[in-house]
Amino acid sequence: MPQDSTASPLPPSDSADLDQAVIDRVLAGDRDAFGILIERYSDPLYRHAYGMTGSADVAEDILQVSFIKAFHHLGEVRGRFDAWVFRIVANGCKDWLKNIRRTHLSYEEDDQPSGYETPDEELDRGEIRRDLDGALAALPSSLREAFVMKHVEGRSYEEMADLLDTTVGALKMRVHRAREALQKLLEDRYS
Amino acid sequence: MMMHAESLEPRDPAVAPEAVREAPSAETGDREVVPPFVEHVALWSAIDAETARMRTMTAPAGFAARVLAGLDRR
Repeated sequence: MPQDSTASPLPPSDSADLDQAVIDRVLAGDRDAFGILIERYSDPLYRHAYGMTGSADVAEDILQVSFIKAFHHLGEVRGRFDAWVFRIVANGCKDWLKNIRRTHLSYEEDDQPSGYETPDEELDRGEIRRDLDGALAALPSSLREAFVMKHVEGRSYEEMADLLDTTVGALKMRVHRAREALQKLLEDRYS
Repeated sequence: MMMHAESLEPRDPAVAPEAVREAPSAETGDREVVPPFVEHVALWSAIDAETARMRTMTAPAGFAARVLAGLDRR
């Protein structure tokens, strides 16, 4: 059964042991066992890619390419698989941000259920959604990344520091600057 | 002498629509001093609701199967 991605994650040492057991199976020729790792990590990684790109289609493409790359380099994993595959996805997102002008992308391509109670609520929330994504797109990628990891993925600063190989203090500053910048970009519309 | 103490009651957002957020302090390891900024409560309430919705998103159905199928094409 797939792990509930909204539940508390396993302690790092436990999940690392479980991941390594799966990696050993894949490297021994059980290719389909790689699906266990995909199921285990695709939801949080999808949220990261979606938060960084603002596009469901692009997020899925980046994730798919990242997992295929991970599969072909699985023998090179040193340390935690989740941190390693996160870096592949995060780099894919940053490369996409560098190379693609994203203004032509439409939110219509997002086929996720909206989760809103009424059409009116969906209309109102759709506005903040468009505004927020437009404002996120205006941020430097390091600030967007920190904001998305903290507020969309719900990660702790310690976990973020571990994944991004930086300090908690630096990440708190990035999130703070991202919030300041987002407010400057959006407050006129909500005053 | 009469002392004026800060109320411990939670502030009513309708009365105090903005909140002051302190910048991360120097004790976190960042020595750069950033002044606090006043948060726009209504704006952040809307943003928090949207990020909470995004936090429930999941990878599209059948994603793992598509990746495994993609391994065969490479």
